[in-house]
Amino acid sequence: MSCLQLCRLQTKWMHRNLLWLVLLFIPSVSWSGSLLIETDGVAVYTGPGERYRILTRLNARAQVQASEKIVSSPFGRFYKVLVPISEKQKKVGYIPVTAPVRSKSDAPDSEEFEKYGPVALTSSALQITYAQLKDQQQLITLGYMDYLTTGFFVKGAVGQWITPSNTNAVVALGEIGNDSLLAGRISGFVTYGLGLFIPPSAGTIFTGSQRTNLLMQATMGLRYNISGFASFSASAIQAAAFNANNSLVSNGFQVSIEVGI
Amino acid sequence: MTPLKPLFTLLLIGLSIASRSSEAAVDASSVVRHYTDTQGTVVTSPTVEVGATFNEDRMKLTAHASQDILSSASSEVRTFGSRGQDSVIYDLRNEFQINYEAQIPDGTLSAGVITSDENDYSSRVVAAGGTRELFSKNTVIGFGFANGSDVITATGDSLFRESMQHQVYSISLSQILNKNSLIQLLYDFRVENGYIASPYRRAKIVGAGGVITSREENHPRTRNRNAVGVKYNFYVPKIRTSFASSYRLYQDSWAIVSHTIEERITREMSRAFELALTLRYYTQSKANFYQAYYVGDPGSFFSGNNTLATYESLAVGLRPAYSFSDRFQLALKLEYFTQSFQDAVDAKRLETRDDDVQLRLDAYVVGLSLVAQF
Repeated sequence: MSCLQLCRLQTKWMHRNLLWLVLLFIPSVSWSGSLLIETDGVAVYTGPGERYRILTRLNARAQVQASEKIVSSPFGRFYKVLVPISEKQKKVGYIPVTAPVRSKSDAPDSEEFEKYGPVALTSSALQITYAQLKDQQQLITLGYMDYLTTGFFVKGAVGQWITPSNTNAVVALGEIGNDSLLAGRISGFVTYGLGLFIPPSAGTIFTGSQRTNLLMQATMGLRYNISGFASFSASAIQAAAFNANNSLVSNGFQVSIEVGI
Repeated sequence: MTPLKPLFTLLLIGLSIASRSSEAAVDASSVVRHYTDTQGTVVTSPTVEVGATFNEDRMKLTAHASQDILSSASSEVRTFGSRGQDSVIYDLRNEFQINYEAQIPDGTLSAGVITSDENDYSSRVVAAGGTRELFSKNTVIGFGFANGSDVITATGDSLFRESMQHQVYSISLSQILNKNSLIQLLYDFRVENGYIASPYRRAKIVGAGGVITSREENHPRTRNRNAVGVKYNFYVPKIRTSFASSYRLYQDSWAIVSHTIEERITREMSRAFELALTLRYYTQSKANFYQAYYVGDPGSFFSGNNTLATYESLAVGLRPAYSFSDRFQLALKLEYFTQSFQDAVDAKRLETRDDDVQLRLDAYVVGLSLVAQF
C-alpha cells in the first residue's frame, strides 16, 4: 500500500470517526419517562450503537429511567437510560428503540442524568502494548481484543521480547481480562495471559531456554477511555517464560493504546 | 518488630472511619494455633486480622499480622546439629499483610502486599486479583497473581546471601448449579527462580567403603509448579448440613506429582452452634533427584529435604463454632495429622545406617479463633 493510499485511508477513517462524534449525542426526538423491559437479556450498550461494549443486560420486568431525548447515531436510534449497576452505582447506557421495551410516561429527573457522563466503549479493538521490564528488557505486542460480555474480554497477540543485546524472542499470547468502569472514563482491569516464548535458538535469552517455551503474564492497571474509539492504559506487569529446565521471571511497567474497530 | 502495633493502629483508623459513617463496618479476628509433632517440632502461631470498609462499603482495607514461634528437634536437626541428638533450633517468623479490595459492578478488584521476615529469610510479595460475575451472577471468573522476591541468608555464615524470585498465576471458574450446590474449577501456576534450597539442609552421601558423609544440598534453580483442582459444595436443607468435596492434582518440573482429596462436612446443630468435620488424604511421588542416601557420585542435584520424598498423609479435623450473637463467633479447631514417608529416614547418627528408622510423623494442631464485627 502506498503512502498516498494510506493517508487517504487514514483521512477517511478520521472523517468517519468525527462524523460519529458529531452525531453521537445529537438528540433528534423528544420523549420522556422510563422503560419497562419486556424480555430477559435486553442489552444496554455503553454508546449509541451495537458496536459498543455491552454495559449490562436487563431482565424482564426491570424498569430503568430514560432521558427525555432519543439519541440518533449512524447505527440507529437509541433510548438514553440510567442503569443501576450496583446498589449504589448508576451508569448511562443506550437501548435500541427496536428493543422489546415498553415506555412509561412518568417524568424523568433530568438533573439525575447530568450527574453521569456516558462512556462509549467499542466492543472490539486493536491494541498495541509496550512493557519496560527489569534488566532493560522490553516486550512489544500487537493484539486484537474482543469484549465477549460485560467487562470480560479475550485477546490474541503477537510480539517481541527484546533484550539489551538485541536478541529477540517471538511471543504469541492468548489473554483474558476483566475490565470495569470505576469512575467516569477510567476503568480498572486485570488480565491473565498464556502463550509461547520462542527465542532464536535454544540457550538464548535465558540459560536453559528451549526452542519453544511457555509464557505466562498478568497485568493490573487503569485505562482511560476516550469516547467512541480509543483508550490508553498504564499497568504493572509480571511475566515468566519457562520450560522444565529453567525460567525467566520478570516484572515491570506496561502502557497500551487501544483503537476501536 | 511486634506485628501487633501496626494492627492496633489500623484498628483505630478503622474504628475512626466506622464511627464517622453509620454504614461502615469493622471486623476483627484473632486466631491462635498450636502445632506439635512426634519429631519434636512445636509451632505457636498467633494471628490478628482487622478489616474496615469505607466509601459506602464499596472498598475494604484489611490488615493481617501473624507470627510463627518455632522450636524444632526434627530428624534433620538432630542428625546434623552441632549438639547431635540434643540439638534444637529456634526461629521466629513475622508476617504482615495489607489488602485492598474494591467492589466494582459485577465483581471485585483487589491488591495487596505481604512481608515475611525471619532472621535468615525475608520475603516481599505484591499480589493482585479480581473477580467477574457473569450470567446473572451464576458464574464467577476469578483471577489472581503475585510477584515475590525472597532473600536467603545463613546464620553463622555472613558471606552467604542468595535470592529467589517467584510468581503466582491463579484462575478459577465458579458455577452455581442450583440454589444448594456450586462447582468450582481452579488452576494455579507458580514459578520459582533462584536459590530454592536451604543452606542448613544436607544430603547424605555414601562414599567409598560405605563411609557416610553429608553435603550441603543443591537443587535446580527453577521450579515450575502446576495445580488443577475441582471443588463441589452442596447443602442439604433437610439435615442442615453442607458438604464440601475437593480434589487437587499437582505436578512440578521436579517430577513431583501429588493428589489431595478433602471432604468437609458442616452441620448446623442449632442456630448458634455448628460443627465441622474435615478429612484430608494426600499422596505424592518423589522429586526426580531425591534420594534418602546418594551412593557414590550424587550427580548435579541432591537434597536433604524430606518433603521431596515419596510420602502420604492423612488429616482428621474437628471444628466446633459457637456464635454468641450476629457479631461474635468463637471457634475451636482440633486436628490430627499423620505423615508416612516411603523413602526418607530418620538417620539419627549420620555415620551409621544401623540406627535408621523409616521416617514417620504424627502431629496435633489446636486452634482457637474469635471473630467480631463492629
